[in-house]
Amino acid sequence: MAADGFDPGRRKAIRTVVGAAASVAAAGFVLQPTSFFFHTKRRKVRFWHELGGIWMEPMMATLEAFNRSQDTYEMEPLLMSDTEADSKLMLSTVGGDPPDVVLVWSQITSVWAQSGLIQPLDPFMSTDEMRRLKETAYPVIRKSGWYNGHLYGIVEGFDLWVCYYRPDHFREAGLNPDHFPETLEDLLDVAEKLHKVEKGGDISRLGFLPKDFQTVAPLFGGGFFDEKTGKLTLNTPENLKALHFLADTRKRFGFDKVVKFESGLASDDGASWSFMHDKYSIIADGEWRVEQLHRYAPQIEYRTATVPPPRGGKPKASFSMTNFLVMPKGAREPKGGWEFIRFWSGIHDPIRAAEFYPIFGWMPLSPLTAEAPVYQKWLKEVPQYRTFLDVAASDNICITPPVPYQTYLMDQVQKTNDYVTRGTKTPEDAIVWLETEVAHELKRRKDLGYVD
Amino acid sequence: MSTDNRSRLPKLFTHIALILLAVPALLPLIWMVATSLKADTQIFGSETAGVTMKTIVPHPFVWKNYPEALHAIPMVMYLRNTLKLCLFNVVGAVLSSAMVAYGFARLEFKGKDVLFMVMIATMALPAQVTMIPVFVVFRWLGWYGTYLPLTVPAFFGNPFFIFLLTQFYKTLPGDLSEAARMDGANEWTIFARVMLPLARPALTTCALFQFLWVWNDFFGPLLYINDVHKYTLAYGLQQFLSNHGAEWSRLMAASTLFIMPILILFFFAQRSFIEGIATTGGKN
Amino acid sequence: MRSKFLRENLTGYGFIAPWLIGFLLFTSFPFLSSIYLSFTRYNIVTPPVWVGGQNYKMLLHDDPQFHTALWVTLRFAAVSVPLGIVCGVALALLLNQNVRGLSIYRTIFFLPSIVPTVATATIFLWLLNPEIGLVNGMLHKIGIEGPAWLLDPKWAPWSLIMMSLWGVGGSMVIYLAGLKDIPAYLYEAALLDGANPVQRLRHVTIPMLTPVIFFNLIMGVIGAFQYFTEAYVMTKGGPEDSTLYYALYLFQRAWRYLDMGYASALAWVLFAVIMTINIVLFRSQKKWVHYGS
Repeated sequence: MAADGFDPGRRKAIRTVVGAAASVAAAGFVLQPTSFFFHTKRRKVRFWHELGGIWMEPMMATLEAFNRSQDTYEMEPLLMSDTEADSKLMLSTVGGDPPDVVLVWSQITSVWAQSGLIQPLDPFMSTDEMRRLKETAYPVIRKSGWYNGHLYGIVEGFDLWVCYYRPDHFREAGLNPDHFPETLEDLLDVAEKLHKVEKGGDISRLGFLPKDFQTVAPLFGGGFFDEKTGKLTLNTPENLKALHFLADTRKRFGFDKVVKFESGLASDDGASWSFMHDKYSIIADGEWRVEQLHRYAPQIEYRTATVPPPRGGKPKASFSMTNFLVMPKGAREPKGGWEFIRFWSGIHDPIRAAEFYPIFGWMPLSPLTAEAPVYQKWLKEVPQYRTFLDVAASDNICITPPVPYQTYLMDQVQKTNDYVTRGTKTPEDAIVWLETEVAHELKRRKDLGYVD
Repeated sequence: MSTDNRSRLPKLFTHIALILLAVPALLPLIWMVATSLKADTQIFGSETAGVTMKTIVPHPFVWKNYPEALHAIPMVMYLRNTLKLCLFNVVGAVLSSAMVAYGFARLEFKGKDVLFMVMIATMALPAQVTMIPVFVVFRWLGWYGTYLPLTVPAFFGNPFFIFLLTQFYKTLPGDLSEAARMDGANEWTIFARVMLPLARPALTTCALFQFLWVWNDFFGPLLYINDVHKYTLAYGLQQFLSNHGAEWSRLMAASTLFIMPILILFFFAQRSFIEGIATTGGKN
Repeated sequence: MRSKFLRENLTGYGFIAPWLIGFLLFTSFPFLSSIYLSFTRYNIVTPPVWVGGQNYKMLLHDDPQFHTALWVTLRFAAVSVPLGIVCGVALALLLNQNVRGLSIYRTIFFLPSIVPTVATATIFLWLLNPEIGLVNGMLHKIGIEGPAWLLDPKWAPWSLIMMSLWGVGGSMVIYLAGLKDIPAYLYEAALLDGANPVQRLRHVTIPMLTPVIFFNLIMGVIGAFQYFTEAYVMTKGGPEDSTLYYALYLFQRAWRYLDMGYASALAWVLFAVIMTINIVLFRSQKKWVHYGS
């Protein structure tokens, strides 16, 4: 019976280890739970968010600042994970026990607004606050978060896309890093000199490669809906041009080679961003990368520039994804919830809120916040960030269409992008596919009795 | 086969096969431990990434990930909560399932086959669509915000275990229970005195699985509990994950610590598979 | 006679009472209400609205994604379930030998089923990476240009099937427990008859293991048709819907598009598929599953 190959001595040793572990565990039971920084007498405002990982620290700092500033309310934060956050939110709202404020990452506020999950925030806003939002905030912020004439979400940080580039690569290729190309066509010419392709056609470095359909479309004057009429604009000449651009830049190397190259970049998150590892000379990416470059790769010399438009296209154009602060229907402390929303976002006091944006590395809602001394001080450390603020002031920023089927729509846009960038559908076929697919879903919704 | 003790060659082959298979089985663990000892910048960098001998070894070793991971979440509190849930679930699920399975496997009653199929059917509907009504039931019972939704159902048998144990009971030789019946024992006595001891390997398996499921489940607690003091270790692990900002090394350090207890538990529990039971006779 | 019948029945119901009560208390209502919901338009937040059989009609006649998802899932189940059983049994047989270090081996093979999914998923993304992955690296050494695995619609489903084999440690444990329940006298009898190891495997071990194999078959079918987590973490259904498993599509419809009525209809169609297969399998038991007594 020595099948498990243990002599008695080792058995005893293992027993000792297990015994020790057991006593440690038992000791654990005796210890009382550590107390948090919460104050007990104030009204609790329940706040759910998904800011784990590196976002945890700035989130806690923000909550503490709010709690310090308050006599009436105090935040009770709860961290969610992205897979189940939505189910939990919906179940607790349906069950009559929703949180008071939720920070949402995905572009889903219209879906939630239509379903009745969240409530409009404009009734809470003072006329001053509304005026500030409508007059001083960045143009993209003024139009974000609205559904059916009401404001359902206050933006808390938003993404834009600009070019990050490596001056050292420029110099190495005999290019002047002080002259960044001013048209998309010139950018491609410059990129030609920066690509590194090996003998078999395998790519080891890309000068530039446009990322995806939704971020490229605005440059060509495209987009997915008309802000004035509220109608979808899918099969348009501009969008078709954007898709051709995506396809052509890949065809040049062969679709498979690009897929293979991009796959070698692995997770592409945080410290693993391909740009930090010499895989790109120029790349269009979001503003959160600035803080991460600062943190993970301070030795890398880089600059930023707006993505140049094609000839006849739109300057300083981009697509914006936004985080929203929303309030579920039936929130028990709506006033407290609003108190926190306006505090953090800066809707109430843009100057005071300036201290929170640098710690996240996020874009503020208004130039007023960006001009505050705290923010300016941070900008001195990361001058590259200024390009983002520059683009933020532009009128050419597209947002996710505020339609009640926006999640479905954007999933199909993503698929269209996949078809084209993988070369399985021609741009012409892909755009027709997108239009047909969305029309089909709209008919389905209509037949079921949804009012869009 | 194991009874063939004379030849050494088959044993050598067995070892070689097992070792070859062990390498891929170990890879996730190796990567997890290696990552837990790296700095965040080392994990996905082009020179330090991937799974080769060159890239898997941390350089330098970053031991502080462990204390940092431990600090980031209230480990002791979460461990206590987790163990509490595990204890009730394991005891509840194993005892009740063993009992129900005996009924299905060894007794005759009207509608048995139909009821058994109904039980199997309860596993065939995706939980996604029953989640809301289940939630409504627990809320109606006033159990929302407590551990009750996470523990009480275990005492009403788990279809997975009931089915598994039924299969085991059916294979056990009938002579022992027959003998007991002759001695005038009723079914409850036979179940407790004869069947339960005989089914020990299967019961251990159930206990192990139940422990593992509860240990890993973070959605259950997340759904029914709103108090941060009542969450479990699996929930704690989520703190290192985030969009655009996961902390891989700390996540893996915490995960390594997280699976250690299960590893130790399994190492000891699997003895019961080896030892078997005297009456049915281990093959050695 | 009658009282004996009654007594027997009562004892039987007594034993299954915990499950029966639990079923009535916690399971029956959710089941019935999800049937009801499948005939409604229901966005989770506002009360459901009756739409009759419209969800089912659309699903069967007018939803190409439903057909894709069903096909992708059927294929996954058809390959991964038998493969999982063969590998699980083989591994358990190997681990049932009388060799040294068994405890260690068993623990090692159980490991992949306890490592958190994020870790397993990440390591697989690395291993199968077409550019720097170990698998293609090794294929390259023997002169084969490997595919793009998870990034190629043709290979992505196979990659996930391969990955599902890492979870075989769970069923291995069940087989091991089953192997330990095989009475020694059967082997002694076989030895007396002069059976060689292969014959003993065919005529004693495998037949005696069939109840447990049957269990894993049924649970495998149920699990494969509800396969979700790995695909959600690794491919999100892509590339080009090649890994759009049924449960993934259902999840999208339910929680992302807030179409719980339609998702409920999807779920009941899946339920019907699973139960049809299960009933056929249960019927087939008589032919191949050996219960000792």
